[in-house]
Amino acid sequence: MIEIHRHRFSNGMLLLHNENPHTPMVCVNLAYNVGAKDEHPDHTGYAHLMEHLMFGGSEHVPEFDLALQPTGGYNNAWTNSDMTNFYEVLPVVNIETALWLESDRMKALSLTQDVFDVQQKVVMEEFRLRQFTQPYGDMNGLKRGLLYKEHPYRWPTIGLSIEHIANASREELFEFYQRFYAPNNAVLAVVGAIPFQEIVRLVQKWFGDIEPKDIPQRNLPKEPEQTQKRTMEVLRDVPASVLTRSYRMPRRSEVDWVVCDVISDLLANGMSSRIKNKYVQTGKVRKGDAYVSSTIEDGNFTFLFSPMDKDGMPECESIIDEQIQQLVEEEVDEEDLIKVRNIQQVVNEYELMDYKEVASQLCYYELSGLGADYMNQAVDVYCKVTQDDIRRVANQLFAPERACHLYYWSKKDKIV
Amino acid sequence: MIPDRCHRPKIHPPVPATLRETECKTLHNGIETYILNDATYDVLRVDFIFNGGTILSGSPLFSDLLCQMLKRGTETQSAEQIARRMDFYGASLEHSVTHNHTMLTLNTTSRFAEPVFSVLEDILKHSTFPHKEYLILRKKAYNNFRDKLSIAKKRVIRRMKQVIYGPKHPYGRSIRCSDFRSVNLAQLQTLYRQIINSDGCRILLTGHVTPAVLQAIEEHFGRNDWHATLGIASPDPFLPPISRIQRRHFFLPKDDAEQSTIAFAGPVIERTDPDWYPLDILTSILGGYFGSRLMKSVREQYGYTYNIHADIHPFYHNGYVYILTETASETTEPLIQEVFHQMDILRQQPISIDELSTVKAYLSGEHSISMDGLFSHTFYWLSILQLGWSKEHFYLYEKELQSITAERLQETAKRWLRPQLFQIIICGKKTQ
Repeated sequence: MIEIHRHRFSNGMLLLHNENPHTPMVCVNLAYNVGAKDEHPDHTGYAHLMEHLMFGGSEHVPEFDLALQPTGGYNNAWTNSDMTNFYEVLPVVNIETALWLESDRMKALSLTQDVFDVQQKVVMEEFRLRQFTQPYGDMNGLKRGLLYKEHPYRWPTIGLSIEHIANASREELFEFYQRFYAPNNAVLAVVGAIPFQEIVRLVQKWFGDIEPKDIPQRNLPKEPEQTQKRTMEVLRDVPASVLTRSYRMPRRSEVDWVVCDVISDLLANGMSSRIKNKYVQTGKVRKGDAYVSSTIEDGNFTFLFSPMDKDGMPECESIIDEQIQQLVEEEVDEEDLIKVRNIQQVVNEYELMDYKEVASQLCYYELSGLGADYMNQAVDVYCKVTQDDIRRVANQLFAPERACHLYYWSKKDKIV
Repeated sequence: MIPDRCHRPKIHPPVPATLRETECKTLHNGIETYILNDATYDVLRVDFIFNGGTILSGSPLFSDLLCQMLKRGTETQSAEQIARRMDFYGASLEHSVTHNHTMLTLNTTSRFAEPVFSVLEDILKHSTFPHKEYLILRKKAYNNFRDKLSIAKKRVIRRMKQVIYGPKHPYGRSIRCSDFRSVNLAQLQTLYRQIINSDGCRILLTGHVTPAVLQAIEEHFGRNDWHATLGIASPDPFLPPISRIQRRHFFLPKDDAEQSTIAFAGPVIERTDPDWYPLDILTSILGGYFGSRLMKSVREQYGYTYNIHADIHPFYHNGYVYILTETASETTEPLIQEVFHQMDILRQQPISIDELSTVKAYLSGEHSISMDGLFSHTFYWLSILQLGWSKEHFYLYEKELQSITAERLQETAKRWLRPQLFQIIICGKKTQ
């Protein structure tokens, strides 16, 4: 258990805090409630490009990194479909530098044409690296396209196509910044050796004068219920063919999300899990896995298999069918449930040791609607999942008409 | 209240990091056990450091298979039973192998130490290396090997090490196709007897090390029933001379590549060379952090790449300088020119006082951060134990960093950042 404090400032910004005396450092984690899901379908990749542009200087800071480096700290950022997350890790004695930097770019980003031109190229290189150079780089994007037809989760964070980034303009991105980067659209988590009253005072000092903005109400298109199995086949220059079968699942804040996660643990967490033990450890398949996405809106449950040889795809399909049937028809062993709970408890204990992880999780839980205090409740929620929950959710989740099959063929396995 | 944004907040020098002390106990059978005790959390990490790595085994493949086979069956438990018992307690057992050492790392909690140690004891002392499991693991290892060869970066790094050390030198040796034909079960069983024994073993305990944990360590691993039967493996075996491949460019074709993956294979420097730390600092200035010369020019000025990185890759006796990056096929040549141009500047001009002080502050902070958190100290202690250094060795970097001058760095650049010392390896389109 960790002690979590919260304070809402008059401009709408939320501060979350955990005092950790075991480190001389502090993590300042600022999450904006904007991600790839807030993009226009014809202009994707903007949230991530915006993240890059946030390092290009602000009214009083010509170069973000150059200003942070003398403090002995480091920083980075990441974007996903739901949020854009910036963080600095630095000696606690220099925390004001992080607050100065973050508040200055929240208040008045420079976003010059020069900065835009360079970052546009850098992000295009990142697109090439992630989508083309890395084997299986486009697989996740293809899977999203199958699962979601209306909802913006249908495109990957890096963007639907490289042209969207190539065609973006500085003006469009500045407009994006103006729309979403505001104190009332941000959650700031500070974890480290600093008392709560002190951090409230410092955040008030640096962010208190930043005016809130009229953040547009998020009105995402609702994904219609899938009524027919979907299938897609692609051919790629990869060492082995892969099959993914995915199903849309509940949003992060629903209790059944946890039930789905327990199902994925039973199937594929640890070498004694059902899939690993029966098929991976025995060498019947090249790869076998089952996992859930951590997206805030309706996520997805995915089976991923790679057959041992080119004729093995049907066998992989049968394995998935068999696993689903077992979940739906048979009661899970109590011992298996205890194992999953033990794994969750140990993982949680290791996570709590890492103040950077705690800071980012606090923001994530808050933005997901669970609330930051969920950090202390997560293990209990897992412990409450029952055998009946698993059968009930498996029945709903794995209906055949809700399945999305992606056959990602290796060129050496399939000749067109 | 409106803050003064025009002036940055005062920078305070961070408290210098200090390495946590370990307590050392010797088990009944002679195993030195080092303890980093911290009761804040109930976590417990146990590292077994065995003498003998890939130089002894002959190939990274053989070492990897040895470690994996340990978990695949004992005299009383099947692979499935072992996995089930470890998973039940949320424990994991990982392995890593260097040229000189084989390491097994157990992650668990203090409260589950006893049952988990009991499984681990069985693995270390009574593994049976079942043939069926061996065939499965060998096939999986071969698939992994093929998978890795499809990754441009892995291919380039593999080639770079061969080029720098020569394919026969252990530091240049990667897994080869022929290893899969030559490996056999008897050989792995011999390695098991040579490496996994109490005589060539040291233990590092990190986390909530209670008296009960210590007692369990003594009971499970301190007895005289797992001594070496085939001699004690050397922690520092003989190394053949380096035999660098003498060619300027190497090309690894990848027809459908949108990008070129490029490695600059630089010079080898001995760990005892007085230039070791200056060169380490210099490579950081060149390409070791976000504000480095290469990131500022190649990425932030020209937008040629998403990432470019320069460093010394350290081995037991020496290390090599390298630069690694990816770029669009058409910007390959300008990027290479720019990298050499940046080396040129470092040779021609001393770095400014401002840049030097920024770099010092940044690298000093990075050094402190690398000692932040309990497990960071574990990593340092693992290095100390493997390299046979004293604890003071880890303060040398900080000392060198604080005393280094622009002139010293320029001298170092003149010696080590000469274009003729670098070979270029590219994986990409044939048309280049």
